Amino acid sequence: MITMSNTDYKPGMGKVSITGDDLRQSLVIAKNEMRKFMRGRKILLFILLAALFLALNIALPALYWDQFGSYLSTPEEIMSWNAGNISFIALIGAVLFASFTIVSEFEERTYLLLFTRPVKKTTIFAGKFLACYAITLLVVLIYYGVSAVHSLVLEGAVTSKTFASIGMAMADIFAVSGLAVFFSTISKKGSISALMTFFLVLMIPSILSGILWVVQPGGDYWYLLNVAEGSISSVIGPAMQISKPLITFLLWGAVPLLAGWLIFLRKEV
Amino acid sequence: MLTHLINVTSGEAYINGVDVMRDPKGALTGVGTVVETPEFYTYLTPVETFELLGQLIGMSREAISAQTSSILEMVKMTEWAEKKIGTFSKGMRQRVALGQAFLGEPSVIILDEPTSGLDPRGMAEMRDVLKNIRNGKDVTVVMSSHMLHEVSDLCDRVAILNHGKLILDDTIDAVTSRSGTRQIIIKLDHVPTADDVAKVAAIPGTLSASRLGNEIEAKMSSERARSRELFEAVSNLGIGAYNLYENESLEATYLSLIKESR
Repeated sequence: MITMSNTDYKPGMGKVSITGDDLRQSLVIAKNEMRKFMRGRKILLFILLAALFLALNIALPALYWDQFGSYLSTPEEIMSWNAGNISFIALIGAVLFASFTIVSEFEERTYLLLFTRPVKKTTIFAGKFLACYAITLLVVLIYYGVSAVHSLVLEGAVTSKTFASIGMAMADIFAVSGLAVFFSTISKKGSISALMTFFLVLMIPSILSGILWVVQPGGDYWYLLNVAEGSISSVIGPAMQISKPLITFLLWGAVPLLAGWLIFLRKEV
Repeated sequence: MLTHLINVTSGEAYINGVDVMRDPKGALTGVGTVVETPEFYTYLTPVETFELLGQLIGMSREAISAQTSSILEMVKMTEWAEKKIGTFSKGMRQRVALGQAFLGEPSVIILDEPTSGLDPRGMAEMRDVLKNIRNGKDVTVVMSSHMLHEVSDLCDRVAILNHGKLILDDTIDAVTSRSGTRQIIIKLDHVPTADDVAKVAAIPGTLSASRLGNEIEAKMSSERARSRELFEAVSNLGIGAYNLYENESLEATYLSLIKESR
């Protein structure tokens, strides 16, 4: 039965509590999003690019061993060398998947199917973010796996510090995916969202750090995303710096993700 | 607003007693919807789409599987059950859209302009399905449409809105007989003569009869019994009548109500 009445209504956020059913629905949405990624062409492009980076990382030192040999003489150095590409792979994952995840629902009008079901918007948002995070992490883990084989072949061992690097990479994926989902929430077109993600994530922190290093050379600009991303490979080295980059990643991811979620809750069709 | 796609600025809406704005998830539980012509995930088949939506509303695998086949049969899409929706025509997509609204045996189905944007064939197919959707089911179907002939054809109750205000809410019978008269059109196998018109006018209960192009228009009181008497009498007049139908009066009522409310 449907009833309507005409009294003043103040729009609000409604219920924001999370129940077990909401979590189950998030997983259903994440599963469907993963199926979309797996059946699309973007995943092939993503794997190809990651494979290309890794192939170059393996092939170039082999070709120019005289120059590289002294730098890649321990398992730590090999893993650190390969991990240098992780931040760019995370960014490509965010551009290909997270920057489209919300905006595509509106662009392709599938929101009329999904948003009219008994599912909270928070649940949809969480499920989509989870899928974007998972697909990028999956490719990054494969990258680490092949890097580990590379290290085993060259040096006969893999450093346990690889796990610290993976932890940093997971935090970095959270940061760039969070930014991409934010752009996906505010954009009207997926292509705009993808461009904003790529250029703003790549260029803004670089420009900022460039300016800061000119203004105050030698300063500790740990709060910049590109500076924190350096820790993904440097954490394998002797000077391990974990807490500051971790905080940076979490903040760069959580703030836009929270803002995107709030905008998404109020977003109308 | 009922499906919580947009927020209300004032007022309240309840579905099965649950406030849509305060608890959209609760309100939409047990509700099937078709809003305009929704797009589907083109990489999914109808079966996979039903599986996704069924899982979302908490149905078991067995229930989804059982309902999917019967619903696809109802919307005449069984043949395309395993084909990717991306290859479907708009009419086929709309039939899948209508089908998914039935998943989970909802108590309320909301259809927003269900034939909007369809070609004549798609519209006819959709109307055909819509006519039978309540067969044997305990379900309330709320349909919004600008096509009044469709409303007359499919609905048993009508509510008319003008600039967001409800100006009428009644049964179709009550709305169409608001003027107190019904207009019946009689088609003959020849151009009507004055004698033909006079014979119709003489049928008891007929208020007036006149020639309307190649047809005869008979006006009579809005009681159903009078229409029935006319239908029976015309066949015995021997004037070559081969078709009788009631002229669209919902449109006339709508236009007069809109005019009054200005």
